[in-house]
Amino acid sequence: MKESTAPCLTRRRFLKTTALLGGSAFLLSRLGWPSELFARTRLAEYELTKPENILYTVCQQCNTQCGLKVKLYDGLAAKLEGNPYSPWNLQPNISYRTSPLDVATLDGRLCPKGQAGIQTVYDPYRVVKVLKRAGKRGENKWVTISFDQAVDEIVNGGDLFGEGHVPGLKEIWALRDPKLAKEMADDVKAIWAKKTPEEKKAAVEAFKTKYAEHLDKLIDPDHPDLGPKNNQLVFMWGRLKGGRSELIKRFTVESFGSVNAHGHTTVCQGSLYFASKAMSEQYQKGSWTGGKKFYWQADQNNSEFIIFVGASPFEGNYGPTNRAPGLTRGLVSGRLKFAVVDPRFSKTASKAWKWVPIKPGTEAALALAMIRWIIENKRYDAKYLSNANKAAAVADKEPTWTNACWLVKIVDGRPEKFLRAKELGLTDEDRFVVLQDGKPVAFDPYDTANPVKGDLFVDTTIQGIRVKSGLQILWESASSKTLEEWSAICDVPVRDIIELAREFTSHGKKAAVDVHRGVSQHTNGFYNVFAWFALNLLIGNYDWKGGMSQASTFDHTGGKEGQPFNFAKLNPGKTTAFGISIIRHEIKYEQTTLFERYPAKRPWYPLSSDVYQEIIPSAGDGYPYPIKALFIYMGSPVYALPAGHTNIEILADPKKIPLIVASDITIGETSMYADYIFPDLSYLERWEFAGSHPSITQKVQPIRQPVIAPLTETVKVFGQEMPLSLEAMLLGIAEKLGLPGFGQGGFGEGQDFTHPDQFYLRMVANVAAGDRPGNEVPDADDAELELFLRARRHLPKTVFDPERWRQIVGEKWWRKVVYVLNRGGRFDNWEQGYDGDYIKNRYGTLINLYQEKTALTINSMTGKPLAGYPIYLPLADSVGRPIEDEKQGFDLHLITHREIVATKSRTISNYWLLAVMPENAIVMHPRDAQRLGLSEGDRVKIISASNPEGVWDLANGTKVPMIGTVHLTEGIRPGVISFALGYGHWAYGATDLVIDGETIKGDERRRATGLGGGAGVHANAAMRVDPYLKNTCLVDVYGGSAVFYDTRVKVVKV
Amino acid sequence: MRPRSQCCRPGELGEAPRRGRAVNYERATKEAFEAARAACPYKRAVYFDDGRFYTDGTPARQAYETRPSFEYGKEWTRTAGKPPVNALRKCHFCVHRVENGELPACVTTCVGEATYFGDLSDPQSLIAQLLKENRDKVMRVYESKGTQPRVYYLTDTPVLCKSQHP
Repeated sequence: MKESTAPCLTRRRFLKTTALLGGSAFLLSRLGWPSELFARTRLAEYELTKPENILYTVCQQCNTQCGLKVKLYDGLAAKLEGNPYSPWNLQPNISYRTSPLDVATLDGRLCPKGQAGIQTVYDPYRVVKVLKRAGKRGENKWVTISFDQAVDEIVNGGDLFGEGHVPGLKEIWALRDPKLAKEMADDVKAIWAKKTPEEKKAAVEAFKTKYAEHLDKLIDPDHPDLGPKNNQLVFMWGRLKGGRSELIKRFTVESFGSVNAHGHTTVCQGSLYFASKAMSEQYQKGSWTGGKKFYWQADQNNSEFIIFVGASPFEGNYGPTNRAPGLTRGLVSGRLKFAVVDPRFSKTASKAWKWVPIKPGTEAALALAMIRWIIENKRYDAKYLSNANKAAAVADKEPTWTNACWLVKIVDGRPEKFLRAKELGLTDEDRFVVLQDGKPVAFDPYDTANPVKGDLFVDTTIQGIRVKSGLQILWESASSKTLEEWSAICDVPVRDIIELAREFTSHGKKAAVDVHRGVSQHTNGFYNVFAWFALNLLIGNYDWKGGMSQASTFDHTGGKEGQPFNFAKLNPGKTTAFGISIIRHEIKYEQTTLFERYPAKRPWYPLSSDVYQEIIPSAGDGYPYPIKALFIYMGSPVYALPAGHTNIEILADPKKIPLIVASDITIGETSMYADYIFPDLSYLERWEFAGSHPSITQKVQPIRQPVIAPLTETVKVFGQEMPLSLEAMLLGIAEKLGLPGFGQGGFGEGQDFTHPDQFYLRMVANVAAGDRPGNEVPDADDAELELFLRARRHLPKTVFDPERWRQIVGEKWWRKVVYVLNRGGRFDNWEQGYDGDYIKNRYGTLINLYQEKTALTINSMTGKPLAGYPIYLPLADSVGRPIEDEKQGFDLHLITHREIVATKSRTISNYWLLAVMPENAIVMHPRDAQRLGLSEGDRVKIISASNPEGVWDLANGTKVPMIGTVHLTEGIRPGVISFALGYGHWAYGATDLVIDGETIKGDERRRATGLGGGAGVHANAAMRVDPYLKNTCLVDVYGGSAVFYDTRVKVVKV
Repeated sequence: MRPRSQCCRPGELGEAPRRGRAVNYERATKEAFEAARAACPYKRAVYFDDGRFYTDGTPARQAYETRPSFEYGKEWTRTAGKPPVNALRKCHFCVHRVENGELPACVTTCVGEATYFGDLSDPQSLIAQLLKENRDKVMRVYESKGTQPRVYYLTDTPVLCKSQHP
């Protein structure tokens, strides 16, 4: 770190900068209160068990979103507990009808991160005023500026930093006419629909002629499908949940008209979601559509046997608080045993019947081996698999069915489309075909009247058409290798493969395979997930108690009958955003005017969305187009992404992205490169609709609401006072721009959108209404209403105004809104999660064992079509070439893991957690240590082929070496090393920064060991950069996952 | 007023927590306290209470013992001049919570449901029944010192465990 000649603040004077919480008026005014308490001689009553000192909300210390019971002392969050109404925190949760006056002394469970959340909220390094950079990008020199000035500069642009003209949003908002936008959007779709290059070219010319007066509104008139210049505003987010997500989309997509609103899904479980999406595509009007972005997890409260693959519910996996009790009870009562397939001996593995230390990246090989054995030994559920349509499933009392027996055409030696009945002349209608005892039968998959079953293994020719059944194709994939060959690939003994497969098929529907990031974050992630979920299909356990369940939530956006506020109709000025997105998602390369040759310049993702690792690198490459402004909300791609260091160079260069605005509670590893940082409210000060996770079988909608007064400054927008927050930033910019959908009449005639409450309270009313008329919650009685008001007596009008709230929702819904908020959301009772032998909230329809849509998708990097069935793919780069760094001497395989005391980037400020685990370690097997001459406690640097120096280059003169401490254990597969995520920071209060000319010292307890601090190592910068893309990590080009677990590294003693 | 304790385990729901029977501290703690003082390597064992319930003449409750547990970065003070952080103390089962009808914090929050808490002197309580039913699986650490610890461990290998903590 450079020596600073600016006046340096001692720890005592640290508190004097008003930009951070540590120096704000709030903390300074509260410093004296403990001595008031000392002065009281009588035994202080334990105030925290009084109902009026308790508010319910939702934790955000990780993404499990457990319920939270916040105990307040004099307006401060004093103690956090679990919410007993929530099935996350108490199993069974208490009846939703219970009065909050009766549950003050009943606390639910909460993991250590949840307990420590107080330190996230009261972190002295929290930003409370708007900051503008005073030096170069990433120099970490800041000045405080007024909110109004920041909004003005962002909207109007100008020479804001003495570096040249920065475009303002008013420039980027080029296309403002919704009618014109809709017309253009339709015509672009028409261009895409043209089949030949000549037709496409002609259509482009026609477009240019038709819109000759508006060509300046397009990014590139020769490529109208890039869309309008509006698309050069990109809004990316990290940890975002409902409510705020609708607000960001309203601003970016509906009102501003940019297609570029993207989340982080591919850095989390990416391919897990998109493989499940592909499995959930339904056949509607001749095409596969409606696939849901979701996945399934095991119903751990009732399962008898679970195989956890790359998942550790005692440490993460959404999450210990809600899953560990059901798992523990199962172990104790003897109901359940489970196996853990993981290169690391996790806490979950420590309670397992079997720990299978698999070679990372070969998970599909184990799944296919098990599939092979199960089919060979006929241990699959033949009855389930033979059901071709809904009627057959219903007749067998099965909630789901699959296309195992549907006939697939073999074209040029590969499975392609399903055979259509028309092709055999069986009928003129659009029907599929099965064989019944050798005879082809046409059917409609959704037919409820005529049950159709089919032969399971078909490999034949009918009328000259070569066909195989879905199950036959799976069998051929699984039997393409012997058990011994699969075993050699994944290094799992044949005996273990057979035992796993036998156990898995010995519990009827009460067995499940439950997978997570360890399976999905590989270059072959999509097919890994597909293979494991195919195992679940072999026993048909979806929607069965003890089998696979999906998440189920109460809708908050008002699309259901009986709900009072339908947000789809609440943006009268809505426009149509169109064009290829910056991440090239949900569109086929071949359809666009950019199609040239294979490989494409960067991957296209027709089957995925929210491809986090593509946003900044694509902007860096200017492909498909350069961008002008980037907004980042609660996200740190630099820290979170594998090879996140590749983002730094691009962020640091104003020529690549001229304007960067961050909404953040701190100056973190990514927001340090922003031009402006707008402080946000912490999760205890604001709203969100947190959604659910697949292992929760009850229907729920946890609601995050303000429980403490905001700690950020107050500003005025649309004449209303509100705290500095994401909402204030968006509304402020909307006001300055004159964006439709905001301000007076923003929701419609006479319905203003001038304060965030008007957005969120409407959503609470929707949740109170439920799914359909008759599903409303009761009215809060007078006692509950009184409690509601008293418990919020410490909240200022900027965030709590009962009069305003009542006016927003109306008399009819007011007491129902109170009822819901008094309980921290809406939660079905425990028994409502189940219905006899089934899970109540069912997926309930077709699950694709064979995916036609996938089979018709072309890999934009190779020009080859994708396989529509589970296969094993070895590690490959984005263009399909093998990566063999081990041949260059990189002899260790790097993975990561989660500890329950840390979340990816935001728990480093929690000293209570650091007290338990102050630093992470580089976990290594003693055999490797011996071979390398290392001992316990040695310091080593991690280097890889794409990062031979082993450093994070911060592009500001500082490099952070990836140095960590070796910890030896037999609990990891030899040849594999791992580190826990969340440590080794160089921002977020870890290092010095300058605000208004004064240096704020960083805290070495948060700082990377490589910088002389005590907080261990963050080695994502060692993860392999894709050799073709050069500025991005390895990717799963099929499902989109950012690859964490396929890097070979070396460690060097320091 | 005697301290009362809730006698249900997390997950046992329905009615509001039962109020347990008063604990006879006078008799039980006197012997234990004597033994604790003898066993303490620092010879500094003192009662934690404020004279309200337990015995006469015990030190007044210290200010830090009444403060709610959320202080952040605050320097603790103690009349003897030394901070309580890093000083040897004994778990008091969150008596401030127990007195108000709650379970100790660790029992409430354990996601593995590893613990039970209750009034041993109430034969109807879950804890009394558990210890009775599992008499051959129960152990306490350092029984030989006579400190009468209030934490009992249920284990399949009580002999082995006891031998390691005699």
